[in-house]
Amino acid sequence: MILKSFYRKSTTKNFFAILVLIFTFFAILIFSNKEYILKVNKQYKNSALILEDIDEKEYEKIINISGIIETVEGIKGVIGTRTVMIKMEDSVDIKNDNFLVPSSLQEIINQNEVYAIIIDKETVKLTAQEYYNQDTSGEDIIKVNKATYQKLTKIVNKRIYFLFLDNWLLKDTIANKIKSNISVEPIIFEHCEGNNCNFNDVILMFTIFKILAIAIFLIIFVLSVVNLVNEDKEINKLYKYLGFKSTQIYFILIKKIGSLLIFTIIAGIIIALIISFIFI
Amino acid sequence: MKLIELKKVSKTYPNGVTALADISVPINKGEFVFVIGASGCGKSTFVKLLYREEKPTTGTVTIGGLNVGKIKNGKVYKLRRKLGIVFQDYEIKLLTKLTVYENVAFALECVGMTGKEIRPKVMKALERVGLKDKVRSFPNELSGGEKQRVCIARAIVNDPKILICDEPTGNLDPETSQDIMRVIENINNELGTTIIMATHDLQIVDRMKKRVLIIQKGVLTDDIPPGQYKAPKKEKGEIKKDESSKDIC
Repeated sequence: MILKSFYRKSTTKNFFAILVLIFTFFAILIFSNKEYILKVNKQYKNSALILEDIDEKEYEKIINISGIIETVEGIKGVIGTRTVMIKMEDSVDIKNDNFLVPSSLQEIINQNEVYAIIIDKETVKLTAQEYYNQDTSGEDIIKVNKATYQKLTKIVNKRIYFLFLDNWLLKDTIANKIKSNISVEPIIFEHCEGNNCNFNDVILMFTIFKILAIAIFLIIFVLSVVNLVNEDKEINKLYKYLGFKSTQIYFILIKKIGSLLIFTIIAGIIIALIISFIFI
Repeated sequence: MKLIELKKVSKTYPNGVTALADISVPINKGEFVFVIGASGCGKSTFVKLLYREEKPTTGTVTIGGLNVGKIKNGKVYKLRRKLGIVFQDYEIKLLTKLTVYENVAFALECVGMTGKEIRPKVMKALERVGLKDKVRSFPNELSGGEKQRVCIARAIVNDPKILICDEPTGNLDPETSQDIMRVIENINNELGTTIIMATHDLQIVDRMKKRVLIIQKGVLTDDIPPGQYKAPKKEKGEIKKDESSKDIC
């Protein structure tokens, strides 16, 4: 009943409305920001952090870093003057000691010819089986079957890794974490598809607005609490005359403040979800 | 049977003013006692000692055998749950955003009663003060007398043994004051609740024929048995304020 009295007051209703408005704005910013980041990450889906010459121990140290969602392992090799990554592929039928040639190497490699590939000063001979469309740019990737790959891994224990991230915007943070774990600086291979790849300004705007919104929210919330405490001074005397304990009176205050905050957040999120669903 | 007893009670405020001096008075269970005196005489202080708004400087105030002055501040709530208190300023003592029902009911929240338990008690209290048909009204829809009756209902809803009234008719017209007094007298007669009422309205005191304690300049000058008090004719309505006394109530 005490909460009923609190929420029927016009000052409470006014503060509640303002707080919900600000929090809704903040929540919309969060949802929009999330959508934008998803969009950015779609554009950068073929971007990766590349680690060259990493052994298994070093790999174990970095594989669990949060944000890395996929790793592609390979062996570094050289065909002619071109450095390639040799990757295992078992979804396609590749013969032993054969390899698939990426479209980027079509001009220098012919099908059904044998080529010498240098892996860590050793030479292996593999036959170019057929071409395939490499959908990612960057390193030229030749594909071999499992048996061939396992043979090649006996030559060298260092690997090359492509690390794909769930949020490309965190590439620098993750790269630094990798560096601090294994003292190897990853190569940042950035590839943006589509137009408008300049996302930094938009991200900055989102951040500024979010900070402003939360700052204003906190100021208004503090004002509402101060108002509440002042309004309740006389009422608290009444509570004492009626036999309320001091702890009960404090609890009433906490219930009022807590409920105001919780209802604001719930209302703000619901309204923001509805608006986001309709417009974003 | 003694329910309340003041023994050699004095109260001196930090500013040096002595509000009460060496007061000793017993009050029995079921009695209806008026406390009268000029403004600043100490009658409000007398009443405040009973619900531990003030502590006596010397002497003892006992209620039901319990020394009220010795209760720790954190435990005063226990005493107040056994009392009902009605004040003069009903306007600020009612929560304006709660209905009549809710204003009475929330007083029972402090003792942890459930909604089911609260309802019959509230309705009984409202019936007793004649406001059963106003349960859904808000304070701004009530007259002054009705508001004070809500306060009385709230004061008696938890079946207190003692009802303490500090100038309950102070802001009311004579006719409404009579209504309020009828309600309070009924509570005394039908429930056996002990009533202590501080008032400056001598008309009421004269009419009610109850026990009267007269305090002048902090001293209990008279303890008049029921039916024997006669209001002074010259100054009917109010004892004139003694100009040498300070207004400390």
